[in-house]
Amino acid sequence: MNKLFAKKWYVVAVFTLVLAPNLFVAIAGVESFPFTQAPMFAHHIDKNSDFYVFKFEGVTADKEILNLEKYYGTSERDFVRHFFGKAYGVASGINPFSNKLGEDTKEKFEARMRTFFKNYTAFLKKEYNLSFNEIQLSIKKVDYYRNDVSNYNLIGIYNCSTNQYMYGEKRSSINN
Amino acid sequence: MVKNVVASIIKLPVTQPLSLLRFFLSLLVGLYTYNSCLSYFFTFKNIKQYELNATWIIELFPERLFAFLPQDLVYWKAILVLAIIGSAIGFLGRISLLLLGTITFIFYGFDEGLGSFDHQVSFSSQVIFILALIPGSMGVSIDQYFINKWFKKDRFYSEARTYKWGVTLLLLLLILTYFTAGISKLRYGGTNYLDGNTIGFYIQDHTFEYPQGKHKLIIGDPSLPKTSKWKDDYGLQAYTYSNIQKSLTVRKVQYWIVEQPWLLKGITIFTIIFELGGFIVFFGSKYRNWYLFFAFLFHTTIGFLMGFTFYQYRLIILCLMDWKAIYAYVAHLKWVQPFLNKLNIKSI
Repeated sequence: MNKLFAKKWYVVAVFTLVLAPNLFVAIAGVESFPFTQAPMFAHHIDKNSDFYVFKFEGVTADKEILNLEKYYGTSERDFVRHFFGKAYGVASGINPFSNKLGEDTKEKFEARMRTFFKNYTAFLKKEYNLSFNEIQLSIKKVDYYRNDVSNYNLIGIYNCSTNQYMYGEKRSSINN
Repeated sequence: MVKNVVASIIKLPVTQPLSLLRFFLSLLVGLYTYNSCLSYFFTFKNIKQYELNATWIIELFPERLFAFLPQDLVYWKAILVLAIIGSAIGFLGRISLLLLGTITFIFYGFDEGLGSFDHQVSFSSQVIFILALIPGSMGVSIDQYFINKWFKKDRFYSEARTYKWGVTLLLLLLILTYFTAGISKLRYGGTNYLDGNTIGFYIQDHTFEYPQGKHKLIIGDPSLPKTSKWKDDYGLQAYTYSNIQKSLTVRKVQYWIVEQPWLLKGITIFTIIFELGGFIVFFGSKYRNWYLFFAFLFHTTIGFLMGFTFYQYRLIILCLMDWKAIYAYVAHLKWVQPFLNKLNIKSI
């Protein structure tokens, strides 16, 4: 080993192997374990910041609505982090919580939402024997101390039969 | 005999810092993985849901590996335990380190997919992997014992002193990690970040006191143009992180700090300067030791205020200090010299 450690090519290779991926994620602004651009605590927050919390609800054929908070299969913290980081993604710029390069597009977003909800509804059926026509996604605004500022607003509906997620411009029809 | 052993142990941070790091870090990371990560996966109900979770290393392996079926647990435990023991005592040491490093990449990569990127292990697991590739990490090990015995040469023993590039690489990775964190604060927070309010929020935010459904906050950016808000009209940009400190005594300190805007600004500015200024470690031993001393304090303070242990970071920082320079300074202190004389330590 000692002879190998003295070889210049080996030293260069090890430095490159270690530093190149770390530099890449730092410059690209992405993360994929163990390489990270360290987004923790980096987004600016003050007492005027807008904070939101998600709510997932299942709607049955009889139009009964069930809050799915107890049916995440994990903590709300991890469920939402996974959902926001890997499925929903950020509004603008490169998502710092994933390994996907480039800004989001509607096609990519819709594909991810379909994948997420398809697997989640399958899990709800298997684990809790729960079946729904739709999963509704809502958010409400809270303040710095997590007091409610608004009621929940519907931002998207996943149709379990058609495997489609409706959102954005189509939201006016959702709210009706 | 006892004197010699004590003297050898005292000299270890100077003569074999990377062997010390290998021993303790393997145990720390390995046991942490065994106790928390591994058990967590096998109690997890919802693996299939996380089809979007694949990190780069998970994509390299067959999907079956991550089914985490109950019958697989014993195999994972056996592999992990062998890798931890092999790495710590240095038996097939470099292979064991590579195995332990790869296991942590896989497990915590999977953990990232489940919603929790562990930013402490992301650094320490890389250090474990690097220790397999650099000189000096096997100076005190079972492998070294047999090499000395069979070859009857001690030239291998000197590897830690011969090549410094291993320590240089670890230092470079540490300061690059800090530098990246500093850049991220400016990239996402802009110059507004320097007002200290972000750090103030995290110091006082006792995440787990809020009911489920209010744990995880998403930050919206109202200043984004409408064209960027096609998903929801709110411009959701990031989730917040957790403060898991539960001590009521610490809470008094937290509340006092957040009521001092000047202190929050000072802490923030110091943090950014500290994170961006790590390259100072290459200016000489004195700068390196002072910087690492502040890095140790930095992690200790964050740990105190936010409930994180940072054992792995603090261990790595201690092992990367220039102990030769520290010993040279300490050895000249009058009250230390009689102690060193008793142990027949003339120089280190």
